[in-house]
Amino acid sequence: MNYNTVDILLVEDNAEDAELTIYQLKKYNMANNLCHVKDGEEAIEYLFASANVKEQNENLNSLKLILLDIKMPKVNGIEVLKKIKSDPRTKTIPIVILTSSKEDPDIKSCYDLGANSYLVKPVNFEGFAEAIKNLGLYWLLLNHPPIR
Amino acid sequence: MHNIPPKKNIFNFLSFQHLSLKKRLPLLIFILLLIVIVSFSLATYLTIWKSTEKIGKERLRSLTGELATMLSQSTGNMVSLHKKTAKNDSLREYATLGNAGLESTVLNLLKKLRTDSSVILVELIDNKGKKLLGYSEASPGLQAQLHQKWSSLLHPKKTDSGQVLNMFSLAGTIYYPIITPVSRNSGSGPNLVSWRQMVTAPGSVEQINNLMGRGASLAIGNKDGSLWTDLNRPIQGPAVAITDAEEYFTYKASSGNLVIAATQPISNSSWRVLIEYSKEAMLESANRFLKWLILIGGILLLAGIITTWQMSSNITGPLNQITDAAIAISKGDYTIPVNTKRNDELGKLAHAFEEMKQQVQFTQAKLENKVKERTAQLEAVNKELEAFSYSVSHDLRAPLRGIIGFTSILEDKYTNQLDDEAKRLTNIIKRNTIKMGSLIDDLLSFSKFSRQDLLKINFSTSDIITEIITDMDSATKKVEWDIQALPHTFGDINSIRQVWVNLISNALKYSGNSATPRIEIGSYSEGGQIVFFIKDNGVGFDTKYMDKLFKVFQRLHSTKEFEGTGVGLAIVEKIISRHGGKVWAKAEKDNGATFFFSLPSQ
Repeated sequence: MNYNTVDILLVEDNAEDAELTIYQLKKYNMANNLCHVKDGEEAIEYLFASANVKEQNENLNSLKLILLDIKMPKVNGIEVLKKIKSDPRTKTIPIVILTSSKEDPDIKSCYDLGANSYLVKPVNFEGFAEAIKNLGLYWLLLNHPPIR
Repeated sequence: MHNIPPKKNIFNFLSFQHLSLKKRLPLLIFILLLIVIVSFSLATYLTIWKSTEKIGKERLRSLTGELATMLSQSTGNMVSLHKKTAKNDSLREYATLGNAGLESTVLNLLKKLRTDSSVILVELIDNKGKKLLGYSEASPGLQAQLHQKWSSLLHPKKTDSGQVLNMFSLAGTIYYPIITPVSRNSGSGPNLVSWRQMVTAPGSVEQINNLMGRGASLAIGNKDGSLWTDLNRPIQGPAVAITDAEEYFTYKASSGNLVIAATQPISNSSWRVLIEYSKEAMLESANRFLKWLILIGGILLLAGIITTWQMSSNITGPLNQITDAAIAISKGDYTIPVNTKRNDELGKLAHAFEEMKQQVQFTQAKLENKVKERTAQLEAVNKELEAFSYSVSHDLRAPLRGIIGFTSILEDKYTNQLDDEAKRLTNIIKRNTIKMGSLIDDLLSFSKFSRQDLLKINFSTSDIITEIITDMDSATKKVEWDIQALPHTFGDINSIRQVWVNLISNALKYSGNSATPRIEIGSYSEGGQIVFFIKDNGVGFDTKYMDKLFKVFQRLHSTKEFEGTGVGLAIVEKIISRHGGKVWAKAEKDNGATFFFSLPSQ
């Protein structure tokens, strides 16, 4: 997907989970400029190794939120988080971990690495829907993005 | 291991059971040696003493005999000379008839009798005691004194025998008479009397002393004991009466020493000889022997003690060494060495001990390695399980999210085409899926609490409970809480917190229906354990099903009545039993329930 002003990057390997998230965001008109990548490798490529460098820079400037899953094949979320937070071009982008793991070590690692927030995907959809709605409202509309 | 106190009886005391071996052996041997040496010495000494005494006595007797014979000879000579003179016809005639013409002849005869200066006076005395004729070169005074003695003399009964009669003392000098009757008739008739002074040349005294030997003293005395002399002067007589019975006399002499004495009569006289032998001198050799015995005995004893002390040290030393090494091993110290140089029983013991020590060491090391291995294995397995349940929970939840999510989207997108029945059905789908999610969570929780290591610390029970109650917010609003002062808990804070969470939420849940829910939390101690309890006034349960209460997924109420998966109490039971405590409950249907759990005190 190549939108000029991507404001949300969704990193999620499970297609159905992604669909649910996108459905919710769409419901509140927050999915217009959303980019979905299917694993860590694609995420890194998108952020750092895109063929079209100009496009990449524009995207990096416009990203308001990265929704990051942890458990993904190839390169997992923690690795991606590390990479993002260690690169000056991307380290200020707000990252919300959206995962099904509520294991303490994961939570700790993510915060240690500088994640902005940690959400656990509940089985119950209503709760999830509410959370996504609030998430979107907060990070896309309320929050003032960092200046890059 | 403890020492059995020895039975207090005389046998044990006598064999010194209460002393260490090191002291006991030498002591017993010392006593044995002592008894042997003393009894042997005593026996020998007594034998020696007896024979010394016997020899001494025999010597005394023979000496006495010799001296008596010697003195008898001398008195015998005196008497026979006297007799010869008394038999002289002229003298006889003069004495009986009083022929004056014979006076000068008789005087000459009398003069001849004065053989030396010890003869003081020679006189003829008639039967009435009157002096007929006399020859003397002594003072008249002395002569008169001597003559006066005539009347007090005891006359011999035999007629033709002459005799030396009792000695007597005049002014410290000793005199004695020799009397020979002149006529043949007994008793009556004149007598020839020589009054002699007892004097013995120093040379002779010395000779006699040499003959007698050291420690003996000679005395001559009248048979009736009236006077005793040392051959020159009068001396104090012996303390006991001396008789002629063939005997030895034992008494304390005037010198203060104990003496043994023997006596013999001197023939031709009324005297006896007495030889005193100091007992000390007589038994001198025996006493010397005794001193040597004591000395040698002492040396033997000392040598014996030293030897046995050495011997027992030789035994107890290695024994103590092995004992010390054994004690050290029991504390885990394998470094104490044991001397294995000897070849006797103790050496064998030491060798065997060393081998055993090595075996123990080896086995212990092996066991420790095994334990390390097993622990590592268990830890590995635990980690695997941990990872397993983690991925299981993650992977199981994802599809559940899918089911609920898409069902909701379905409801959302096609809400106009779905009638009430359809909506009811989708709700059922969603509800069951949520339930499945809870089950997975609960199972994971249960598994975690079964495997986790417990980190036991002391923490405030009241603080935890207050936290939980505050967290549980809405449900607790209308509940009346009665929480007593609670002691600190010693246990794993997270697990115990989970216990309280489960118990309190149960209490809330099951009393939620009553008008005035009341929950009481308290504790008491019993038998070294602290017991906590939580009591509610809710629906309670039928105790008929008590044994199902704490089992996984077992419930005593339907989900319609009260929601729940039936894992809460199983988790409580698992946690508490891993702490070493117990859980139990009391309840009545519709009359509340009380749940108890005990924890061992720190």
